[in-house]
Amino acid sequence: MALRIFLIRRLALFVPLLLGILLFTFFLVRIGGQDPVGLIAGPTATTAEIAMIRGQLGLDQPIPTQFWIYLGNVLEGDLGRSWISQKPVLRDVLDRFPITLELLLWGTLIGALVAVPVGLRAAFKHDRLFDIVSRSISLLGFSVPTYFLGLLMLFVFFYLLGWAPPGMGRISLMVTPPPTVTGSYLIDSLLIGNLEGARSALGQLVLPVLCVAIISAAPIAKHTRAIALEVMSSDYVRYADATGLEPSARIRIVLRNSRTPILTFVGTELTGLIGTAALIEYVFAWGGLGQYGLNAIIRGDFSAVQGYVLALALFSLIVFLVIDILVLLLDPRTAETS
Amino acid sequence: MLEVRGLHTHFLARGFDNQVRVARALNGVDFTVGEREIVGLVGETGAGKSLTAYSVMGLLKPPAKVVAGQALYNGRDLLALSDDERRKLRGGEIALVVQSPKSSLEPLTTVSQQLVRVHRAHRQVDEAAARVRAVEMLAAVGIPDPERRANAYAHQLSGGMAQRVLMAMALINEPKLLIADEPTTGLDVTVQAQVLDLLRDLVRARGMSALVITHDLGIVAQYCDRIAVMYAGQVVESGGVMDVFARPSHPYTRRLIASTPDSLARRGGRPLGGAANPPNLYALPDGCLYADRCDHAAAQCAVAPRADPVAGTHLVRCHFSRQFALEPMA
Repeated sequence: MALRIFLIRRLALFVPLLLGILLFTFFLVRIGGQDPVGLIAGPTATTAEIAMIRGQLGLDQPIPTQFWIYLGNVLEGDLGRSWISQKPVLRDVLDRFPITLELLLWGTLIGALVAVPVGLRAAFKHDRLFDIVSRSISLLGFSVPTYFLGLLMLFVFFYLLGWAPPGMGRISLMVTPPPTVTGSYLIDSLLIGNLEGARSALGQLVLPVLCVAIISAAPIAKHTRAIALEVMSSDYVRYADATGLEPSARIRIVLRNSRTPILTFVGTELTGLIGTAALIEYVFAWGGLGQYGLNAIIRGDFSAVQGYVLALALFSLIVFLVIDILVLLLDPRTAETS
Repeated sequence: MLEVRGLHTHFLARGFDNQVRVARALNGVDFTVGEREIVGLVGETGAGKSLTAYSVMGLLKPPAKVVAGQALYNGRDLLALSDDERRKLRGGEIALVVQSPKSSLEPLTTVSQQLVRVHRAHRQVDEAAARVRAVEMLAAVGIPDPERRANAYAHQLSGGMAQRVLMAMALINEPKLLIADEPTTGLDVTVQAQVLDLLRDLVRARGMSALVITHDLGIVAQYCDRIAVMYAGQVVESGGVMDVFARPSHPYTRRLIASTPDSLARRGGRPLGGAANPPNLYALPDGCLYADRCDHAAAQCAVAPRADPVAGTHLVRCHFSRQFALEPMA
């Protein structure tokens, strides 16, 4: 019951938030100083041609009028047309979102699976060797620039060692991509029993996923350690010590009380990484949403940028919603109050 | 029962200049808690009252460290035990009640689960029996409707209720010694009296000994058999409550008594004179630690005084204790 009220309240909150994001990106894009008309028309276009294109795109209207038209279109599910790909932005976003998601979810999952235990162990071994070593490694993860890490990976594992395939997309050029079901070549290949395709897709995934994992692991380990240390210095852990509980019982108390803040942090990290993923996608020619958005920003593709930002915002809202539901389900007090 | 001898606890910290700085927080604490006795440990903030309790129970965290002394519990030195042996005594034979009851309860576990956990950590009982015992204990500390309250979480309890739960947790294993660290700080005055009355009755009924840490002389006068007054990490005066209040023989005790609301009212709100700052723990004087705050300091005070009896078990750490013992308070 409590959960349903919570869900309704949260979903109602989506409406003003998304509206605000639409408004914000719309004006941000327009004060950016880019003029797409010149780019579309090309260098040889006459003034009359430029004016005609401007009229076709509706860019000769006052900006508030443009926003009203845009808002009406969005409500009808029309995000506009990309000037680069010449396709509806909604189509582009839906095609590319799963591609980025595949990279992001695997990367963050692997990063968290490594970093959370490391962070916890570091907290329990506070200031001892394991703590110091893991902190130093995590500092290294923090300080490596994303694109450099990608290039380094390719240099070592593809060029020097030859263990990994080149960073040229999501599946080998020699393999026919499977028909799209989920958008993940790995899963779609497995669905039709194409083992060769699955192996190729997996091979292409390894390096970029590893990059995301490394980049997410550093902050996750650091925060997990800090969260567990804070719980360990709480009054109730001190009091548990004073009542002579066994060390294992003490560890259980620390784990129980740090799990929700850790989960929340991993969620925050996941939403933050979607921007970082754009750079990794570039290095590995991944062709996902991040690369699409970056391209659109550089080339002044207004509708595409707006669609990209909207997709990102929606993704963040959904991730936070899922995290909050999980937190609620993990808290034994939820059942008590309903 | 418990005999603390020459307890020294220091805080070791390395400054930015890489020099180790030592804060000498406890400088030879001596006191005893006899069988079935309630002893009040009093002193101002920073005198080392709580630190004494945590040192004795082996609950110090770095940078605090016991550097010398003994804490004999029925003849066994608690400070020389292994971590595991000490853990078994803690909560089993020596129990602690702390001053922040609500934050000392684990937020995500029910009251009964926490009671059961503590009980089963020290006694060989099954889950069901431990739960029965937990509810009994909640009833014993005066919690209404204990069966229902057993399923409550910490955030559903008032401060007074939480303090009663802590008492139930402290007493569930029938300990021999209870250490109560400012058990009523943060509670309403009416609730304070209830909690303290309960504490005393439970201790008396179970034939336990107790060490009550407080800065409130009124509590000591009303609830304790003996008193130990701490100043700058030393016990400066100890003895039976009657003896010490009748003939306070250390200038610090005299000033403490003179600072109680009753006494201040009698003198028209006029506080006694003297320097107001407690001593710097990083640079303690060689002689009497109280000398720079004392109105009666003399040449002898450059030599540290020993704790000598003025009568029976009434011990005072002052060169002029015998004079003070004869001098009535203003």
